[in-house]
Amino acid sequence: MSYPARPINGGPLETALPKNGVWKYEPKYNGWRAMVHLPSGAIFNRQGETLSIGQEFTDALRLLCSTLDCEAFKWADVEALSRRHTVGRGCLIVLDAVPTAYTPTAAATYSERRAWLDAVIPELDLMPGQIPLISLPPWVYPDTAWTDLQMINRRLGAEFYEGLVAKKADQPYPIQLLSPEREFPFWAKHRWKS
Amino acid sequence: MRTKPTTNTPEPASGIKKVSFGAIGAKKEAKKTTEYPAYPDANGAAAEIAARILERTEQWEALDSAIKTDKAELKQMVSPFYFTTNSGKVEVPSSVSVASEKGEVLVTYQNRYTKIDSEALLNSVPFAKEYFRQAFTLEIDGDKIPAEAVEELIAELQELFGKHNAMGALAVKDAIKPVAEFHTLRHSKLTPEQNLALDQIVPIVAMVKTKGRGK
Repeated sequence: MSYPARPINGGPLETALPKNGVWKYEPKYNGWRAMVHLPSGAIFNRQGETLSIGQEFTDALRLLCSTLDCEAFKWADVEALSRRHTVGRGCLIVLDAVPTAYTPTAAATYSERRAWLDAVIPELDLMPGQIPLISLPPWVYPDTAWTDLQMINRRLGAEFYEGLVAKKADQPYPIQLLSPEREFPFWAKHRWKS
Repeated sequence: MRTKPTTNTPEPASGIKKVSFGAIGAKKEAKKTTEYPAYPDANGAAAEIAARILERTEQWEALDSAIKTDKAELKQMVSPFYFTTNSGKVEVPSSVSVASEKGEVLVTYQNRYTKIDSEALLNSVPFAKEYFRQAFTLEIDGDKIPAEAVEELIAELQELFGKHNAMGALAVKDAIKPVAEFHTLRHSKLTPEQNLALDQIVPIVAMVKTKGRGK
């Protein structure tokens, strides 16, 4: 397995410098980062250990594995919603599909991977009402989302969103087994709280 | 930077008024924050510095991340050229020069490689296996050797390594470090003056943290 892509810290959006090329922005969710092994349904934490609260996602895992059952991906990079707040408990937000290293799909760009996921997984509304068991983060306009998401947090009474994550559209997934601490400079997180 | 979404455009939150949250969103008890003694900052000088640190940290994060991305992108751009232009050469220059109106930037390829933990990582590139080997550092935890056996064991180790002409492989890292309880004892047993004097010799590691406790 690969460790999940770890974004660099871009600081608050207000101070961020212009980015080169095409970047897509997603909300940053307050949950547990995890990797799901699609053939088995096993779920692992950021360090590659079995996720201790994995049993809370049994239904979502079953659905995710049956939905993404294909040769191209063996792993999904997800945010598991549980415990840190009450919104969407037991649900999985699919951040990316992780191709197998040294296969033709390993070179797929973020935009291409996202297009594959878009075809089979629904996108989550910014204002979460009924959260599906599995969903994709929506792409947002960073300027408006930066304030809107904070407003939604206040309405929810929960820190559901932590900020934004920017992903460079033309980049393959950084498959790496060296260290969970290794950062991927083509994903940048912008949090509103230090 | 201002990327347009290519999927559903999100509604501004201000336009979404009536949503039933059901059972979601119940407030949980706020996490308790440890109370620390506050520095008596009579003239506000410390607060001024603290504010400056926070502000500059944000600026630094923005700059640091932008530079990291630029460097990664430049390396990604230049690497194919580096391997192509040096293919078949015995003497390979360490760097590739990238000229700009502000000056030159070098992309340097050092003779250093990221350590890998498992040979299995090389399975997908079997041609590379002959270029890799196992390297190791054996460590001996001296604390776990019975005190009465230490000298004899070290002597035997030296003899063993000497016999194999491998004395150079034996390395000792030693240091003087405080006893386990020192961090507490220094406050109960030593005066402030003694602590300050000691700090000149064995400084305590102090970090300025800006993360983790919110604003």
